[in-house]
This record gives sequence, structure tokens and C-alpha cells, in this order.
Amino acid sequence: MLKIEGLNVYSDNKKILENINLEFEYGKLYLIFGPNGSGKTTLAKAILNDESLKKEGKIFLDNVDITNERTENIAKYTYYSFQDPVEIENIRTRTLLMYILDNFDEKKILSLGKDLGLPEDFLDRGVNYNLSGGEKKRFSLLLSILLNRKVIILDEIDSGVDIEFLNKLKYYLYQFKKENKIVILISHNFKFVKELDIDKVIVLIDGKVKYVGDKNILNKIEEYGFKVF
Amino acid sequence: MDSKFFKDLFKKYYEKIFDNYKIIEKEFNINKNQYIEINLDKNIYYNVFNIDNSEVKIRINNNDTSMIYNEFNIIGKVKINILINNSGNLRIYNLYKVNSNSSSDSIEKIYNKNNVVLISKIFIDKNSENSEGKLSQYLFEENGISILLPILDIENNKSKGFHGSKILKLTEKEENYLRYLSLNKEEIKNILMREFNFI
Repeated sequence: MLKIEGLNVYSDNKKILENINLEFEYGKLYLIFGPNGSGKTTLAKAILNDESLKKEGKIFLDNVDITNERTENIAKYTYYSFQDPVEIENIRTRTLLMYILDNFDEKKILSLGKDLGLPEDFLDRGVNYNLSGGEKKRFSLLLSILLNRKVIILDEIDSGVDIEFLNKLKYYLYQFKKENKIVILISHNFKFVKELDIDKVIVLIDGKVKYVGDKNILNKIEEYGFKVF
Repeated sequence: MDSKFFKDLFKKYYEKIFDNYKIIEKEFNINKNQYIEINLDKNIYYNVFNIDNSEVKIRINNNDTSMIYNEFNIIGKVKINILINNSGNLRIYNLYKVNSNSSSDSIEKIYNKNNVVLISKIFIDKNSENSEGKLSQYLFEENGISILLPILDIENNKSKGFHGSKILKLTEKEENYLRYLSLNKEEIKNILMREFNFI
């Protein structure tokens, strides 16, 4: 279980998140929902102890305190897909994958890349380099599959992509659940998330958790906006 | 340019220390693919490479305060790949002279852990027609200071010269992205080194 207790998060001395208490169980899909600037991405980055953030409170994974663990160590069991994946021209994707995967199976990677709609030569390009916005999201999904982490946090992976990719994403979200992972999706896409078998919706507004419960809340938010809180 | 002229030229700009150095001159006539390793010490090196339709790989290792001049006389289609592995103070001057109807494709890889000044010039004189000189430089630096000065001196209108440089370095944002993929500083450095060797 991933457990967050009394978490306050500051960025540049500004309080972004206040008194966050949440629990995430294995084999469940969570949706973090909220208006722009409500602290959704900050929450994800706080879980991975991003060094730009100052924190108070505790974060536990399987009862182990990971609050102050280094990002690269937390990333050994947690995958976070960036909203805007960074382009790295100087490192080829092939080399990156050889370092971060336990088993670099080129045939399998190429076949998965093809299935997800990545360009044929993506392994020989720089990481995310010269990929379109949609292709970067495809590469993020590829990483989430290959890395096989027990916690997966996907930050707006469903924005700026076509319906074909959304169907694939939907499939893999179920797969991750089946594989007993903790899956956390940050999204703004009503149409897409309403189709998903979400176990819990967490609504964040102005850095505070306003709701934790079933997905019926999405209909209300769609109708009345975030003023329902 | 002869070795005396080269020494005098560099003396103007660099340390007095070179006054006491010996000049070691060598000439290489190359007409098949070849690998040459040059280990520098406290001397001034003056090398002339006459290369005819071949590929040459040169590795220059330096731990001292050294100076080296390499003149490449290029005939036909030539490829030159130079790896400079420096952990001392190195002054290096490469002159690529491309003759008529010839082409040179030169790669200079610099792995620098201290101080290096590299001046590289592609020279095509006014009588050398239909020639092409290309120079690509790649720098990988570990706590070093590097000054790279590429020069294209193309006197003939029917000939061409190209130059490109690249520093293998990551921005903070790029490093942070890699940390989110479980890589620590040492691993990131190893990856960059691997990419440098791949070029």
C-alpha cells in the first residue's frame, strides 16, 4: 500500500499542497482530478521526492518510509510519466533502455513500439527527440509497460492523443490492475475517464483533497463544475 | 608551415615552458586503412600525414603539458577519426589540406578532463577544384576547460567546407528526467560516455 500522511508541500516557499492524507491499494485504479493548478502534478512529484519541493508529513510504501528517499531510488519501484516528456538528443533511446531495463529484448521492444504507433527508428533516436507530442505519450506508455514498476503514475498521458491510442491506454490500464499494481491516473479528459473502471476518484482543489470516492462524482462535476465542492 | 614556424607561432601565445621542449617530427604516408596511437609527453610534436584514399584512426593520449601539430594532406576520398584523450594541458593544431577532386570526412572526439585548446582548420587552396572538407567535433568534458576553434578556409569557389560541433552534456531538466527513470549521477555519466564512444 502507498500511504500519504499529513503531507504539506511547498515550492519556492509557496504552499502547494495542504494536509494530504491518502491511501492507494494494489490492484486498483485511482483517478486524480481537479482544475489546473490544483496540485495534481505536485502530488505525484512529491511521492517521488522531487528535489525542487519541500515537504512535511510522511509517505510510506509497504510500510517503509520513503519520504526522504532519493528520487532515483523511489523510481526503482515507481514509474511517473511526465506531462511533457523531456527531449534528450545526446542519449539514444536504445542506450537508455539498455540501462534501465532488467532485460533488453530488442525484438519485443520494437514489436511493442510498433503496436503503440512509435516510429520504426525510435530506438536509434535521442530519447523523445523529434517525437510529436502524441508520440512522446506513446513512448511514456511503452516505458510504463517495460519498466514493470509496482506503482504507476500517469500524468495526463491521455491528452493530445488519438482515439486509437486511448483504446490501447485503456487496455493497459486494465492490464496493470490485473498485474496487481497501484495505478494512478491524472487526467482532465471527462469522456475518457468516464469509460474506465476507476476504483476511486480523488478530487484536488487549491492543494486540498476535497473528495475521495466513487466515479459518480464525475457526472456532477461535468454538470456543475468544481463549484459542487 | 614548417616545424620551426609552428613552434614560434605557438610560443607567442602559450607558456614559456615550450622553449625547453624538443621538436619531434614524423611523416606518415598512408594508402591503406590504419590505426595510429600517439602518446604525448613533454615535447612538441610535428606530424605530417599524407593520406591517399584511406581511412585513418588516430588516438592521442596526453597527461602532460604538450603541444602537437598535425598536418593532413588529403588525396582522394579520405576519412579521419581522431580521439583525443586528455587529462593534462594540451595545445593541438590540426590542419586538413584537401587537394583537387578530393574529399575528407574528419571526426574529432575530445574527451577532456583538464585543459585543451584545439584549433582545427580545413584548408582548400584556390587551385583545388571540386573538393570537399567536412569536420565534426564532439566534446565530452569532465571538470575540464576546452577551447575549440574550428576554421574553414576555402579559397576555391567550386569546393566546399562544412563544420559541426556538439557537446555531450545534459541540462538539469534532462538529468532530472533520467532520475525519474531510476538513474543516478554516476549511471548518467556512464551512459553519456557510452554515447561518446559510439560516435
